[in-house]
Amino acid sequence: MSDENKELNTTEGVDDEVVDEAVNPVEEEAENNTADNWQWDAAVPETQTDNITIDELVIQAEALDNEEVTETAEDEATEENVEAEETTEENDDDDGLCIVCGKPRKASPSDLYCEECRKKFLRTDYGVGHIIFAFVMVIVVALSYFIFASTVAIASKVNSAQELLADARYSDAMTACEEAASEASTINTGINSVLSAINQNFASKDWFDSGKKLDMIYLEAYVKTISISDSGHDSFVSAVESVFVNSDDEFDYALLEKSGYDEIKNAYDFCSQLSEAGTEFTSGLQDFVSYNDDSSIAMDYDKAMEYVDGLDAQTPAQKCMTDYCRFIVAYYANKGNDEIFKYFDSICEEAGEFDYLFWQTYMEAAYQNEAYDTALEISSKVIERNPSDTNAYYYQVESLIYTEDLDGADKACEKLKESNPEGLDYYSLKANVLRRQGKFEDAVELCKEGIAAGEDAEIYRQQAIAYMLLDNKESALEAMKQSYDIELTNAYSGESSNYLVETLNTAALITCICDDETTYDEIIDIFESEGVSLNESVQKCIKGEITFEDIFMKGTGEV
Amino acid sequence: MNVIYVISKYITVIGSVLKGFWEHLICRMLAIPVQDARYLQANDLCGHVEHDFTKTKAKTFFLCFLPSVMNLIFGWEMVAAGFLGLFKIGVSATSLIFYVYIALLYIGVSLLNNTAPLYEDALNNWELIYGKESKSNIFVKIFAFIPSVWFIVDAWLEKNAINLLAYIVAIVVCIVL
Repeated sequence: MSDENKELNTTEGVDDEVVDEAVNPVEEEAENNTADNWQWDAAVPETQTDNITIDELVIQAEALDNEEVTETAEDEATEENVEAEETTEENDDDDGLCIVCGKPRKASPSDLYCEECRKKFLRTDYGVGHIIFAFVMVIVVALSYFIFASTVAIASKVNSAQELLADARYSDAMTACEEAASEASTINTGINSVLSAINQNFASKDWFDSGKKLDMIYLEAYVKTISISDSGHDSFVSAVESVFVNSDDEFDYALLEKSGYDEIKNAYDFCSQLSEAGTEFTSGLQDFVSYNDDSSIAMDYDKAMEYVDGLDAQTPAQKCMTDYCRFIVAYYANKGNDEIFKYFDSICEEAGEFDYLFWQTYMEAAYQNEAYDTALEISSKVIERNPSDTNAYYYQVESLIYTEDLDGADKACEKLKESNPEGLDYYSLKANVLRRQGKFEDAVELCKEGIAAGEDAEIYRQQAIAYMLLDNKESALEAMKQSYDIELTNAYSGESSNYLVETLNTAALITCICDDETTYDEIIDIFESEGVSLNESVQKCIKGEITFEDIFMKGTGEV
Repeated sequence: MNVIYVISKYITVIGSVLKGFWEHLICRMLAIPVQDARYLQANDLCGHVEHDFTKTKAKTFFLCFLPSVMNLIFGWEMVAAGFLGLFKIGVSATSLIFYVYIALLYIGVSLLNNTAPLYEDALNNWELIYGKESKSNIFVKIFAFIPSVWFIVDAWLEKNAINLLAYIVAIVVCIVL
């Protein structure tokens, strides 16, 4: 039987069944609905129904059902044809063949390849070269992680130095620079210790560098803090000469000129001239220096002045240095403040914009000679140039205490904390002020805060003094011993301290009062070995001529 | 073939080859047939492998994501090390590490310039997750949204060599500043 006949028969079969199903309900309705109870108006309200019989209605219903069945069959046939057409179009795009070998894909899960090609492509070779390359890259990445970590360690210090410089905390910026350089050095040592096991040539190589930027941050901070008092001008010259070096590792002045850092260049020019003049002029002064029995320096004033007057000073730096020599002679010859300050005023005039180089020395000399107003004036200038200069704050606070301006001293302490929040000097200076104000317990508490922030000999000393004034000898002795131990440890390790003499004198006094003979004898031995005697006030206090309060409260004599 | 694209791929040859290798590796791990494993070729497949069309969301997503992440992680720390050393610390040319930093900066940029999937893969990933006929649940759509957008954007930028240009401009700005 052909397909067409099958379709025809199927269609005929469907028609018969549909007709049967369509007729049966109509016949049932016809039997149920008689002419008597049929609602003619509800069924077809606008049609004349008087001349229609039940038989005619049945015939019409049959005809209507036949039409619907035919339409349904036609719709189904059309949908089937559309689907068939779509399938044919798809088959035109995908011929079911593998795009590589052209064989039928059959049951391959891939849309492109037959199962055989697919399996082959699942194991496509990487290539030896690529594997070696990837392996090398993984090693490079591991090494670069080490370089990254080391660089971050150095860069974080550089960043912190940069921030400190921006905050005008020059001393801290210089410390951060030194830490960064030290970090680079530590990393280099670590690498070299590993590599030297392989080859001795790597024993002292500089792999990592703290960088040019750090050098410039250091010099920018340094130029704000240079002082002639501790030969800072010589160190500054050396620092500049170590940064601006050519390929032969020699100082190249042209590089400094080209750098664009005018402040550093001008300071270098002046400092190098000052340095040369200083070496030439001050060496001759040694001939006029002698030592007294108590190891203090004595100066043959007339001869020394004659020598200085004979010096040939042409440049401003040389003129500054001759006046500086005159100041040294006058200072050690114990001449009056007028003469000493006359030379300083002359120095500042000749130095012009570089007068700041002499401020520290001027301030210290004024304080030592009890010219507190001058010390205050100069310390303000120093603080204006370097707002975090703790040395200047020290002289300012001490000068204010001696001029009995304790509120001013208190404000100066707070300014110090603002400009140098991490510094420990605030605690000792403020404790000193609180003690002078009679607030001993506050002083003790502040010292405890300071000790928690970082152990410092001077904070312990201030705490010991406050305890003594509170008549708490046990705690005073304990604190004083801590201070003494820290100071001695620092001294033996080569760390300089501004408070070493004060600490030893205070320790001698407190240990004597508290009957700690062992420590007292130890301190006296140190003084004797250095050829120095105890402070006059301490000696008087031990003899009972003055009281502890006289020294530390009334200011009749500091230690 | 986009000539600029091919040039950018050859300039950043290290990243191109490595990206191709990661793609190949991931294809093998995910059982995706790879027909052409030449990572460097002068056409749009440069820096990629020719692989079978992926039909599942997970395979497509991870094929786009994993090779990119590998190059991204490796590239960033190299670029960061090079950048910090050359521009933050300012190491001078007299130092040995200066050249190491330059090499790291180049390799890092080279890897970062090869983080995008093939543009077609990126679009396929989007279609499978966010297409009209996609039945992805809302969590998948949320989780995959940013990476999927990144795939397309990055692939487009890479296709037009714009990201390499951006890296070069950034380095020049750092040198000038």
